[in-house]
Amino acid sequence: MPDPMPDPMSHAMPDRAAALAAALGRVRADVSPALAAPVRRARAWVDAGHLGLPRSVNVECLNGTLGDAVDLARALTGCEPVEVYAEGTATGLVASLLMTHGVVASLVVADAPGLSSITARLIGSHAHTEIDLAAPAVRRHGPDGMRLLPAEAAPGEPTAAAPTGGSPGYTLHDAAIAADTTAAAHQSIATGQPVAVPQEAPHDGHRQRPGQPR
Amino acid sequence: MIGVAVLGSGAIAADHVSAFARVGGVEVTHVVGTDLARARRIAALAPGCRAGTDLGDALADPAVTGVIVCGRTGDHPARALAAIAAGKHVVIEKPPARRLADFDAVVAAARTAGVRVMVGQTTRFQPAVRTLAAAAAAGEVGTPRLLHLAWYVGHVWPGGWNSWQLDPAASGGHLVHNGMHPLDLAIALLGDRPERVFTRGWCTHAPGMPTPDSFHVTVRFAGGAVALAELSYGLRRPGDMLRRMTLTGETGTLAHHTAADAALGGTPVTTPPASVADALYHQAVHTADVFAGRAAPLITLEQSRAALATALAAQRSLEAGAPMEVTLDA
Repeated sequence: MPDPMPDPMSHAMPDRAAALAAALGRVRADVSPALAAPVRRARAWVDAGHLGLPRSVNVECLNGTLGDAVDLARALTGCEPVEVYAEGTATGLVASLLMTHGVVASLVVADAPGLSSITARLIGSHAHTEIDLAAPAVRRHGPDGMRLLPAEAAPGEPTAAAPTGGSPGYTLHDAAIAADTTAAAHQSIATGQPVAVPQEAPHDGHRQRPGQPR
Repeated sequence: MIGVAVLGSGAIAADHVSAFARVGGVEVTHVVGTDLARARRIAALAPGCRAGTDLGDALADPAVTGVIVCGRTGDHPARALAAIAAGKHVVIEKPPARRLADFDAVVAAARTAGVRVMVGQTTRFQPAVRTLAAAAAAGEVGTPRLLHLAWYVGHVWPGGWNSWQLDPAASGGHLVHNGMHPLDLAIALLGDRPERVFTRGWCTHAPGMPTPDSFHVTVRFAGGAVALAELSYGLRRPGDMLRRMTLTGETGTLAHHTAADAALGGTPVTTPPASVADALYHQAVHTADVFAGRAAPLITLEQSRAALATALAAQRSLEAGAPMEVTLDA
């Protein structure tokens, strides 16, 4: 089993990029919610043209992380973060992303007492869709309250693939983008200005640091 | 009997007349518009209502207790000032003005004349919004920290490319014209002073639109709370609606989604979700109480001033592509 690494995607931890760099060579053992069945289904709808061209996406992660939100925005649209503006509060943040092809994303990450959920809304030129990572599910009600029984298999493909030599569905490249966007968001909070998200260099494979001129 | 005159002959004026016609103890006395035929069609929605094109006739009528100022935003301050000068109470459709100074002049005149003025922020009267606001005010979430509003609709602009609402010079821009709704609600729910905004806007369907059909605004408040307000008129099918609100606080979370409402199926007819329906009627009931002196305005002038200042800053942010400070100074 690959070495697990701590989840440094927390919105409270701005130096995700440094943590990721230290973990180079390892394979992530945790699974991004971007691989969940509702996300993959919605992306298939996008790729089939059912929504037309994606124009905007909103992701709300209650008791989730900014890395999760970035992963979802990318997974749903197939576009990459270009610039981020963010405002933070003691218990979360809101972020406005400009993505490639002019797609716009808004991300909400918050500590939400009593409610853990990850949802997203995608508006295309021809249709829109909304996904809830906890759906579809069957609700079980009992003396201890309500419990969701997922009606689809939980995502597991990437962790299953890695030990057997298969290609993981979520790579260090994906994690680096989430990390760099998170770092850029925290830089934006600190400066009160939009910050460019580092882009993949064309030849050497290294990513520029947040805020560097491109 | 509370007499109400509606100034305007567009779609929202018709909605106001229909709403007031259902309120007991209210008589819609006048519809005043620039197009007499249209004003007559709207006046026909309320028994005994007269249509005309002369504002002075309506304002000189002692049966008129208060007026509803509709029509183009640029005309709002002058119409409100005329009504105030005639001693009438006033509800102004949002946005109340394109400039903060114009709104301040209306407020100052109302205070001098001793009449009541309220901005018609209709979303505040939606059943789900009222419930969420009451729960927040009762301390259900403790100190509010983060608000997320996502309001999407399928919409066709009246007048097509000639719609004045699409012209930022006439409407103040989409952030002012419709952005005031979520910004007003954010200010009311968080109970704080907005400090800084950042806006992104985009066109979902028609790239040549002179104003974006969709936008989102981040708002930073003086006490450290933040809000994200998303507004999209870009859903494909007219009548489609997706509205959700999430308010997180130190001790709890309030959340609402129109998807939880009962839905009509098997027919092309679309009906508004029960959680947002009849807001204008509820506003009309409240307006009658305000005009009669039975209630203080739910939407305060301080909140409306802050919402307009925030919307103006958000529009500047859209145009500049940069964050903007919210200027509340006169």
